Amino acid sequence: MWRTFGASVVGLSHQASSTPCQDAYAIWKLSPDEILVAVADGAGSASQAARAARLAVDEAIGYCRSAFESAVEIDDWPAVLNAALAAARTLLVATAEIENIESREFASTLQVMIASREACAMARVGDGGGVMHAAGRVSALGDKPDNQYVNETDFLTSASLRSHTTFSRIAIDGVAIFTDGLQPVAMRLVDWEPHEPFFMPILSFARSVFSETDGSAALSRLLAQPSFDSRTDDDRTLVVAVWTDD
Amino acid sequence: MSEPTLDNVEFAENPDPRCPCILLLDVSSSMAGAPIDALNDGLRAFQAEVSKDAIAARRVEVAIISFGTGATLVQDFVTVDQFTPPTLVANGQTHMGKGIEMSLDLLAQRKATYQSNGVAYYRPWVFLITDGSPYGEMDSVVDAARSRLQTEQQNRKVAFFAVGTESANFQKLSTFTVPERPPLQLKGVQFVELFVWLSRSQQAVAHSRPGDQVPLPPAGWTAV
Repeated sequence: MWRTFGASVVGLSHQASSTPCQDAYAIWKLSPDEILVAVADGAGSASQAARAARLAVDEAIGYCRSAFESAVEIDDWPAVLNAALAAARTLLVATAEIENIESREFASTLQVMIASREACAMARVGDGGGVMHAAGRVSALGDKPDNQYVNETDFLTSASLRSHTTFSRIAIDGVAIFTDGLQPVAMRLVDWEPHEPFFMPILSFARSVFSETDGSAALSRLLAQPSFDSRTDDDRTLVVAVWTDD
Repeated sequence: MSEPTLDNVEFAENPDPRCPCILLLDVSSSMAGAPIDALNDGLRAFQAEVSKDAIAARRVEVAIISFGTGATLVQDFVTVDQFTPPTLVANGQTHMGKGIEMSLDLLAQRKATYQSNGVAYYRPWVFLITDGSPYGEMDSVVDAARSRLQTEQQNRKVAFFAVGTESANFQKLSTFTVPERPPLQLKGVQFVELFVWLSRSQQAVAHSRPGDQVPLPPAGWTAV
């Protein structure tokens, strides 16, 4: 079965302005064998950033849960995930319209992932990333985000929906998804290789901790450590899932 | 059995993201005396202000191109924590076209260096200061520079700012800028105030995240 853990910690720049955390995540176990993860990062100055991130992850998970009520071929997973991104976009735009607010106030990135013991697929709008653990090593799940400038990226509410999809038909033992606040510490930026000394201890920990609640709390304490603050003042979110045979 | 821990998590080493800023400075002979002295004071103020912010001092990379007769690379890109302000001397005409072309070439090279080294960067700034208008170059040279600069701004390759003293030709200057960033007029020779504002603006960019509007702090150095 899959054991899942998640943590979101507000960054120093938001602490300084008393802004709430603008990241959100959601995890859903479709079955003991299949998990859904959604992670979102609300845009810095968007007035509804925190809400947008929460709406996006909840809508994406909700969409996927409905889709998976009927049998879905593994090869169709990428299409379902992209439809989930579109559903999240639709919700944000519609909410903005109903509330008579500019849709850019609901700008957020979104990553949606599904994993089983046979395959792993992810669809993403904006930055952030994921890694998968298989055959003893950690490799990137998807390409490096292609934003040219550090402080600009695509959002669900951007003029057009630009998504990146990745699909691997391999038996994975673990997966981790993170927002851009963790990119500088978790990945080698020049070639987007995962930094194994970051992920391996976390994956080992996830495999050995007994309670998902305690494990998530420990992840949260990790992300709250001041050592992160010298590398990034952004909000940071990490979701980890590991397969255990118990 | 010992408790599982997260004590062994180690961080990746990555270069700091960079905030490239080119100062494109008019050192024509009309700048001699009080203006060039104040400009030199301004460069020192810029270095001192940005240095107060340890993160910005590592991220903001400044280059200086001066233009009088011809254009000169006075300072190649250097992070502010390694920057020693030069002392500029006023002399010559106002080859602004050459200065602009040199700036855009320098930026293109810098981006290529960033990309091949996996260094992330913010959208580059070119910050022009002049007390006049292009003088001494063929019209075709100035026109080509203007056209290239306009195209690069429209393609979001660069954020270009123009500041003129009272004697500058603002109508001509505004042919180089885009409507959302018209040229601004400096009060007297308040270069120090201008550079303190610029340093605060660069600090804001250096800390900004996707979606942040960078609200540049109000500018007290502009003449209305």
